[in-house]
Amino acid sequence: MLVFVFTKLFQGFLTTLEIFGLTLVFALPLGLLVAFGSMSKFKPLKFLMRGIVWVIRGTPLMLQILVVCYGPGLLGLPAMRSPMLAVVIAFVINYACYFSEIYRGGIESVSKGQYEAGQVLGMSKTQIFFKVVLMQVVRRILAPMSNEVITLVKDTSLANTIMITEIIKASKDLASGYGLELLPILLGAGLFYLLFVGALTLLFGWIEKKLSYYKV
Amino acid sequence: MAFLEVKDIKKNFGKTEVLKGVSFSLENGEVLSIIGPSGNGKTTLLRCLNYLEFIDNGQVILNNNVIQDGETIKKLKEKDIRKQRLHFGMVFQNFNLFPQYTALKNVQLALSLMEKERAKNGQEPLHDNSPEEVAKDLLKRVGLEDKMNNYPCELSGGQCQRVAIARALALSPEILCFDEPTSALDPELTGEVLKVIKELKETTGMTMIIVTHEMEFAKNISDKVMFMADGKVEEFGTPEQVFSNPKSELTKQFLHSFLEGVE
Repeated sequence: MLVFVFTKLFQGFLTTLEIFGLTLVFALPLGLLVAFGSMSKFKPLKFLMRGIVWVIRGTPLMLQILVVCYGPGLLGLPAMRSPMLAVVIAFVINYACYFSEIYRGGIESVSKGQYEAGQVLGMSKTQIFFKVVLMQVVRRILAPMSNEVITLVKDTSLANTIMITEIIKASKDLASGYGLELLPILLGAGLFYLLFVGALTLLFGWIEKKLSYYKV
Repeated sequence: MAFLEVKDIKKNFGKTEVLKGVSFSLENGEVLSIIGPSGNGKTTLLRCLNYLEFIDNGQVILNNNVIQDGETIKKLKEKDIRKQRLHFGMVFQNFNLFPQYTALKNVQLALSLMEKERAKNGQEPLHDNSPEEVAKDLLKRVGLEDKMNNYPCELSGGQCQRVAIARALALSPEILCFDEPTSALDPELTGEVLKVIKELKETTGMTMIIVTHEMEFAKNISDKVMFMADGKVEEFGTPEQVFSNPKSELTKQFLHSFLEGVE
């Protein structure tokens, strides 16, 4: 029985990981684009991006998931075929907006002198960003990013609202389908989160140490 | 015509007129020191020469080529500005070294990128030697051959500034500008930086423009001295003329208060 419960929970956890991984893969670069947009000298783009960030950060992620999943259908458009796709789209947009603000803070904290040093050496804007600024930004945003990534691990549980069998939904299904007590199963699910976040914490600690050879 | 001709440069920040028509000229191999009270446009002038600020009026002519013109400067593309910037090198007050790179990589980085671009465009390389060799030679010249693999945070202020000088030299500028190169240093470290600048003049005959508050140094190293006040050239001449026999009342006052401050 224990093995059966574990297997079910593990299957759910794989779905959790899938949402987590896909969100990171797309939201990390998208966040950078949003950050550039919200720092743009072209005012309409800047206000558009800041408006989007405001709306996304200003409404619950659960609502956003529901809107992405059922919104198209209600508007007479073809409905979302797969709930998984809807969840990933909602998560990517949501997290890109949070990441963009962390990026923006990091980019704006690099001193003007670093850009000027690159400029007087004849470097192009692109060269200055990628060869000089970016590594300093990475170093500075590591701590807030690790926070956000850890939050993402647990936010994936919101996917259960549209019937995706991630680990929380898997726990509920076990309880209702086999007449088991819910709380112990949920505690087991909590253990999965805890161990995974522990691994992420170690990973971020390791990266931080790797980058600590210089001071910014 | 002189090697460098600066003609009637004006620069406003909003409604504040920071440079009110600065003109001077300099011969090849000469060292110009710019002195004067803070907030009178000395640094802005250097920043303008390096395209870090765009002039509102005037011209900069180097070797009979107009390299800056207040009329056209705002229409220039990034590519053109990058090219024009290379006439001048710049050493900043607070070094602005890249913290994530070693001393060697700091000196080498821009040159490596440029040589790659030149190769891609089918141009001759800037130097015969590889960027790494050029950087090593330059660090040797500023006395830091044993610090090549250290990061800026592991170096003293004086050593950082010497790396910054080597970095500025890597792209072979025709004129090297220094913006108060020793102001951010502990007093006991200024000597090593000034020595490097002096050696640079003696061994390479590099044309240099130095904004400084080190009056003794300015007196010793300069061929020309410029006193700036209120965004204008108040006095310009040889060190003897400016320091020993100033004509302007403002210059006299400034030098007087400076000497009093020292004693």
